[in-house]
Amino acid sequence: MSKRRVLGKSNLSLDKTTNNILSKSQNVDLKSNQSENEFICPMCNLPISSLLKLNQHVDSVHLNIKDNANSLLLNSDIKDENITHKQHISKSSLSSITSSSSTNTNTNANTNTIIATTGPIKLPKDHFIRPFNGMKCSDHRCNIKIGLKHSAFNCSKCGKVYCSNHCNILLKLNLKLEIINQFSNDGIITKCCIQCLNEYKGWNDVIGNITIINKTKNFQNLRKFKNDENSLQNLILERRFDKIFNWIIMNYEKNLKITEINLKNFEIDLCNWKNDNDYKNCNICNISFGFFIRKHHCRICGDIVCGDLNRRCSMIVPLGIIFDLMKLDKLNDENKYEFDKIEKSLKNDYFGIRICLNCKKKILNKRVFKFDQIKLYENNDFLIIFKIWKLIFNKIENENISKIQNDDENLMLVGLFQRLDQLIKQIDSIINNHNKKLPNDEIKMFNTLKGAIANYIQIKLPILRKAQEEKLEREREVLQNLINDKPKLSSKDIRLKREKLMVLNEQKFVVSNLYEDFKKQRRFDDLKTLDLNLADIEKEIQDLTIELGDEGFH
Amino acid sequence: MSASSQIPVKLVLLGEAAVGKSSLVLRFVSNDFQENKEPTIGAAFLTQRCTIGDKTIKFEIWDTAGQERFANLAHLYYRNAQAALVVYDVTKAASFIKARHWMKELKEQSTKNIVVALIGNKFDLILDEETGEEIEGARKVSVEEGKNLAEEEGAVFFETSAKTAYNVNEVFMYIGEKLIENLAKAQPEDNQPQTQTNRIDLTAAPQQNINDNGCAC
Repeated sequence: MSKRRVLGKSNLSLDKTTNNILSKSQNVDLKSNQSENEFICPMCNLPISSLLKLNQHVDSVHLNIKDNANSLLLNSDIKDENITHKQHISKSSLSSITSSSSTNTNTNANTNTIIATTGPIKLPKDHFIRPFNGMKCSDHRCNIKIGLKHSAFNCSKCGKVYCSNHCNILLKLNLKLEIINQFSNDGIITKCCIQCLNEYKGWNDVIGNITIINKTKNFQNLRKFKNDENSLQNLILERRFDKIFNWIIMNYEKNLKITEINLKNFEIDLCNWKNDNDYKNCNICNISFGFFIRKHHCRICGDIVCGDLNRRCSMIVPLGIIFDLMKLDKLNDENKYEFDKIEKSLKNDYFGIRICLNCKKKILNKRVFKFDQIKLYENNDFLIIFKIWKLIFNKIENENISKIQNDDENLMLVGLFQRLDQLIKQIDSIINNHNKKLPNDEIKMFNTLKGAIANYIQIKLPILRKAQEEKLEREREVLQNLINDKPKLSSKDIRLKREKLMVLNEQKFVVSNLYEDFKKQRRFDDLKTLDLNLADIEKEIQDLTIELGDEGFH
Repeated sequence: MSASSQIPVKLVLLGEAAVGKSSLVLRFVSNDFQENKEPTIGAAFLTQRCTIGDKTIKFEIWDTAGQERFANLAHLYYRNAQAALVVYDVTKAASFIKARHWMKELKEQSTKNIVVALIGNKFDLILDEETGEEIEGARKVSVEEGKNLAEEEGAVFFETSAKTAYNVNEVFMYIGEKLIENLAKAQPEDNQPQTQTNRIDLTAAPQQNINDNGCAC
């Protein structure tokens, strides 16, 4: 009974040496050739049919698994091995992820290699609410009726019934139905509802435990590699353009006329054309080739593309245009005259080179941009306005305009903004100048600049307005001070003015008395005169009281 | 009709205290005289109508107080007065100096065509009651001095006595005549533009260039 001895030994240090034992016992098992089918569990003396079953039995029963269902399942295994075996295989993937808490990684690995030894952990379903007829999804926003059309889903955590849309969050739960670390080895990933996810408070704790793997470097490397590859590809394509250019010049120098034949020969030399038979669809638009849609080779990259004019996958670009674009790169004063001559001669021919959309984007777009830049230098308006705008912008930014103290700074600020306004008007006048029609690209650039300036003014307008208000307030303060300073009367003046005021008051009294008297005497003709006089006196009194201010009578 | 045909004249009396301004006015208005009259407070207002030719002038007389403390009031009254009487006491040299001062102030501050009369009051005091001749030494301001001052400032010169009513009415009459004369000069110039602007001449030829250009509305 050597096997038993081995097993008895393994019993002492089961955890560490399971691997060893298994391999040995397997060998033994194979050698014994199934003659001795009976094994006895060293812990509980239970007779077991095969070594495999024994291992499962030891792992599940004697490793303190609390899951009753699991042990039950195992017990049934013993009786009915064939069926359970299949079950284990089918669930091995699950159990590999969700091994019980006490088994270490070592045994876990084994269960993978030699069919699952641990039983599958099943989450309790006692709390599941049973769907009844006419029940609705528990999500308050969802109106779906649970029935034939929409089957019911129970949230594993809370047990409520949901429709398929609202029970689709995968969370890892342990046997106590608690959400646990999504990266831990325990628990089962099941579907839960969003409410349970929201109710779980400890996300931060979980995240704290995660070891973050920084893949930025990898990504950067990859990106760099891709970029390099791209730029290399571009370089190759550009070289080909150079070749076209040189070929044209060569032809010109040799006084050769560009014919269909020599162009074709040159094109074949330029790059490797891809094999026609390998491609059945256009490389760009994926349309299948046929009688009407013919295969064409891009002369720059060699790809097979369609020649459909509507799809614009490829086009025949006249040599003149290519030359024109390339010319700008090589432009210097010495051979400018010659270039012009060549260009003129090229314009008479209609020969061109087929270029696919990809190559056009990669190369010609870039060239067009360069073309624009060079043209801009000829027309200085844009550059000048742009420079002025930048200057003003820097000045305003440097001034720290939110803290304006005195009027000079304020005045300067207002001046700068006025200048900006003028710039906008200037741009408008340039754009709308009908005598000199600008190219569309330039108009676009002007418009962009105008928009930028206008936007900037808009942003800074509140600050400007605030500055203005502050300035007004300051002025008002100064005025107030002036008013306050004005009636600094000497004591003699005050005395005189007071006297005058007294006299005036007396006179007012006299005149108003007279007025009453005249009224009584019915001398209405004279009342008017007295009235005027009274008004005069009152005005004088008012002026005086204002002049005296606080020094007057109280 | 009577009210509208009256010409209102604002007249102001200026001069030192106790020279007899109020007495002068009293004599003119009510042909009365009071001994030991109380000093005026502020300015008194009196009116008197008198007829000169076919016109009636209504004098609105502002009798200002001569005391120094009321000096500030005076400008209120002479500011837009049409006539002014500057009064001094012939027996007091100081009052004449004051009168000179008033004359100057009037010239500077008042309206342009104001009629000014320089009046030496209390003429009765320098006359002997029995003989009717001048008492030697009583007069402190000579007639020549008064006349010279009046000529300098473009005024008319009178020597009056409120007590005996000597020359009082003549002063006012003279002023009335002078004012009417001034008014007659000014009226043709003043009235002409008024008729043109305020009235529509129905007989005038229609303006032709109204419809020449511009919209019809």
